[in-house]
Amino acid sequence: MVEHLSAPSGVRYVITLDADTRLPEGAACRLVGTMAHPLNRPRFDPRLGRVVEGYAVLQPRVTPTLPTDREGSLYQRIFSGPAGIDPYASAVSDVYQDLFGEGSYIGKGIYDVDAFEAALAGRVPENALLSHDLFEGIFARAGLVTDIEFFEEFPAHYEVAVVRQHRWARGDWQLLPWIIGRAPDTSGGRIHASIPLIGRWKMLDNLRRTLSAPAAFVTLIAGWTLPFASPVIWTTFVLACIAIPSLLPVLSGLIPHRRGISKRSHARAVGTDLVLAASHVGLTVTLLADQAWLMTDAIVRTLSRVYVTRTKAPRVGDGSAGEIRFRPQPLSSFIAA
Amino acid sequence: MSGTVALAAAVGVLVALRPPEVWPIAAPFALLWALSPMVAYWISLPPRAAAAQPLSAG
Repeated sequence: MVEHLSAPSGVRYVITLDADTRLPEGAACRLVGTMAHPLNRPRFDPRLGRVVEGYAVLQPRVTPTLPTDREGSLYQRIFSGPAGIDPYASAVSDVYQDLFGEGSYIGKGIYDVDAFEAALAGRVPENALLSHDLFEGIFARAGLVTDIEFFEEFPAHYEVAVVRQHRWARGDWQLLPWIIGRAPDTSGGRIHASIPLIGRWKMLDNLRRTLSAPAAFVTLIAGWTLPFASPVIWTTFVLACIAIPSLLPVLSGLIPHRRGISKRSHARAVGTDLVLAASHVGLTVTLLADQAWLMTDAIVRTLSRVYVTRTKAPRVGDGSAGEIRFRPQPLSSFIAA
Repeated sequence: MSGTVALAAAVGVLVALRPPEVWPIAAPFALLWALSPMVAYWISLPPRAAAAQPLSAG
């Protein structure tokens, strides 16, 4: 695809976008500005082989576009963004950026070509990774810029979203050799990769996320079938785990954000939030078996590929509509600075 | 999603083998999961064009 394409000389930053990412006016300039700020300039440590200070990648906030009444399917309306009316509620703060000074690169952003290439030189054999953004962000040091925003459409069709989730899960599990520190480099030898602890944690957290649907499913089945388990307790427990994250934003919306909102209008807003959250919970439970099946399939496929058959080429696609939506890193725009 | 339906059926069989007091708790889940392909299809449909009224001759 793009590996034989080298950047024209004199290019310092590259902005990567997907085909459907929308860049608001001025965002590119502000990204370059943030990147060029003296405090953000990347400092590459040749000994560790990664960026240790500043940022070689900046990840702006990516917000799903609000579905319009005419276009958005029910699925898109219920699952894009957090349950609740304020789509920005969950994106202004990020635990990793706040606590550890580095965010996660999710494939859309800006990078410093030289520092980025230096940090990733010789790291990964060709075609070993399907999803490399998080990995790149760990070595090149990614910063999350929440005040610059990209917009992206959320899939309207469940099957399209499923193809995407399956691919992401496979990409996450392909990183397992790096998490446990026994990954091959480009020369085929096994080196002890110097991945910072927080980087390993991020990759591990992705694995945890892919396991949550299968775990919830297995817990329910175990709760119903094991002779010593109490079906009521275990069912309530799993349902609570699914419902609480969706219902919490409704609670915080109970208090009006500003004065001067009529009681009736406030009640209606809370009611809408509640219906949305309830539909979210209902659909999550309904789709739990499918999600468990999907994730298990992705995990088993990847593990057998990485550890048993040892085929290098990842299964890139089933050719469906969701395929085009993946994060390929096209050199969509060059900014010479 | 045929795997999901098979999974739901397996859950149904497994639950049927358990004492009847488990049935009212587990059966709704098995039913939901068996129907989930239809639900997934239904929620993915574009909103009905019902709002678009045909132009009347009058």
